[in-house]
Amino acid sequence: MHFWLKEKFIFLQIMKTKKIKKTIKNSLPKGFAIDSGINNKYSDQPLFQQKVEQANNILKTVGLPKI
Amino acid sequence: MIDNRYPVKASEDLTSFEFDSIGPKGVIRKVVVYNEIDLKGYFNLGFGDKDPISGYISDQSISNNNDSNKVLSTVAATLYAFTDFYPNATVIATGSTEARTRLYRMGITNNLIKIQKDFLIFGLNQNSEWELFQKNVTYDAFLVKRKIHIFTDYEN
Repeated sequence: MHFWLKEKFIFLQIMKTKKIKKTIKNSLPKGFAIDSGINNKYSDQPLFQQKVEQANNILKTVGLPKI
Repeated sequence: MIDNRYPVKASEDLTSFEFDSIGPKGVIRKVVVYNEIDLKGYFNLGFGDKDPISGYISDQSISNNNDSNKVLSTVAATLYAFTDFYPNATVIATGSTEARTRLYRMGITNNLIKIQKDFLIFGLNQNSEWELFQKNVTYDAFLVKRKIHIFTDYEN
């Protein structure tokens, strides 16, 4: 019984992940496609780190706009 | 301009995007990355050309591929995709040079009515203060947040 529940839980998790991926795919703008090869490919590049520091600096010195 | 854009490949979490600029200088791979900064929910928009040999990204290169409007509208489309997925995110964008920041400003100005339907957009003015984006004002940075539309029966 315990084994059956575990199997069912794993199955539901897989279905949930598939459903989320399908939802993302359906909501993408026209001409967009998911490519898992891009995942985490660029986040550690120096350019982006420098820009992140710049953005942090702006928010530290200027603050936030009133939204 | 907003509808004339290149096909885009996106990471599964919709924070990284790639597309190819095609023009007289050939095919140039462009990369757009949204990195969360120190403040939770705030993201920097990073954008540059990918060097085909080293793989590194440069935001200093001037590609002269005669398609700057199409490139900008493709970047704008990534902002729609990103904020569709992260509707509460706030995005900050700064140009790598004054010329590039001016190019961003022109791109926003030319599409302001359409952009303002979907986004709140602020500019960092010369007094280092955020203000709602206005035409013909010089800004050093831009900050955008997706408007949340509340649909009612009246709109159906």
